[in-house]
Amino acid sequence: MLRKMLKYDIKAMAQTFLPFYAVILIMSVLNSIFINFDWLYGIVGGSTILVGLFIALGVTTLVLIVTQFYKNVLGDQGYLTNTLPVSVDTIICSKLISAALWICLSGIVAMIVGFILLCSVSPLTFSDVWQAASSLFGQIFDAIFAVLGGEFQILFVLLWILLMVLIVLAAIANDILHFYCAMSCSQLRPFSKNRIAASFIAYIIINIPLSVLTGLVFSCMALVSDRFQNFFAGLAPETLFTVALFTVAAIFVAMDILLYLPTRYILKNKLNLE
Amino acid sequence: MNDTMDMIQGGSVSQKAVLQVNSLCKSYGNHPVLEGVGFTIPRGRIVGLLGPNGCGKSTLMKLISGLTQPDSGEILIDGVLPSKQTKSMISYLPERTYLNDWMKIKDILNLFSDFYADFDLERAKAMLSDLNISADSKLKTMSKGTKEKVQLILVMSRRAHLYLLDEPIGGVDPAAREYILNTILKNFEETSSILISTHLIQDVETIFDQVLFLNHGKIVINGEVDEIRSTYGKSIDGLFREVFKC
Repeated sequence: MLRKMLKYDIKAMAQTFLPFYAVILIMSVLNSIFINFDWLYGIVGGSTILVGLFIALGVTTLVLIVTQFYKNVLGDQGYLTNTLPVSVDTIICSKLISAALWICLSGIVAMIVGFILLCSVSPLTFSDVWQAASSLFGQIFDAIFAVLGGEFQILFVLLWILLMVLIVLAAIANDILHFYCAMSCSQLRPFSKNRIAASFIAYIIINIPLSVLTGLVFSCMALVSDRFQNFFAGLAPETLFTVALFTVAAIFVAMDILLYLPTRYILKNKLNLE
Repeated sequence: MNDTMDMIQGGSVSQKAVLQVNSLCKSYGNHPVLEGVGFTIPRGRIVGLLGPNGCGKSTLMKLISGLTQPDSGEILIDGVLPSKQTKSMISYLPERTYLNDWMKIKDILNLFSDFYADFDLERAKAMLSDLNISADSKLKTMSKGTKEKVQLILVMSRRAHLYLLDEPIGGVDPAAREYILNTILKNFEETSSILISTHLIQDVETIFDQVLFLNHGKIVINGEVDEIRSTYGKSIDGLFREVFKC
């Protein structure tokens, strides 16, 4: 059922995002042509439009993530979404995964645009940039291997990449779930009279325990690491780095769960559609 | 499969109520909306849920469909408490338009086929073509009345156990009203039941087998239409006007 649900959630946002991506990519290609021909008016105009489009992409991503959940789950469309024979988990996860997917895609598009512009401003060709990038990454990996030098070096690097991807995804999920949780709070009785204002206030209020908790966890870790100084000092650098990455990932995942559970509870038990 | 066999043989399933509501209470804050509502709907009935605006009809529908949770009391749909399972047995037409604006007709048809195993795509297509609505038309550009008809077609194209129709004729013109009632009657099967909430009784009273009068969160009259007519010597509409006199 999650796959079916995802199909419709991704499609719903594709209607806005795909044309947006197309316009941004076309604009960046045009701009790089202007740069190539040294046409000043074109460069100034094109760059201004491109900057505007980037800001618009950021705002649109944010607005769409929020409105898609609000309209589709808590608004009139919620009458269909919440009566489909699927669990609340399927509904939240589908919205969450599709939103995260579009954030990642927007990031990729931004990188492509940066790459196109980089190719056009520098006297280098596409293959030069590509070679430079691959040699840079090659050197980074060489340096890592040189430091590690052990037999399981490749396993460590893979684990780090995996943990870093997990941290990025958990951090994105954290931002999205923060919105979802805040909007779900507007369903609760005392707040439901002014739902949009309630969502804004809930967003700010939820932020307080989250920041306190993160601060507390990190300061606790600092204390702990102080006490176990000898223990940590005895660890190999690669192990230490793995432990650090793992801890950050665990904190983000824990915060995701902390935001997910109240959202799930409200949608399951306290839904109060207008 | 077993259920079908039982129904054919007139076994336990056919006798079991499609919907059973016991001492249902629901309040919004300090305002009680439903106070100890209880009734039973057997299989093969068209039931009118009648009452003035704000008497709790929509809340009752939401509770049965599983959109909200009761404060106390019990709802059983074919003997099952509201859950994911009952959502696949109930076909619910809410008062609101729930169609996604980005969709075309064919998208929403696919959505219903994807999620509801009992959705009869051919039946829906036939009804849409009766109304000259093409599968490629966008929901965004449709009038409110057309959207309501599309929604009714979607809901009635399912072969559900229980249909919940919340004010299906509330916002449409008399011609469309007739079309809607015909659609409901045409698609009604003896193995299921329909609960229709309305305050426009005159137009629909002829199709009801049973009526429930809901007032101030309580069921004040519950009975067979013919019995009520003979007991009170009035039409349902006449009785409604008397009971709910302002």
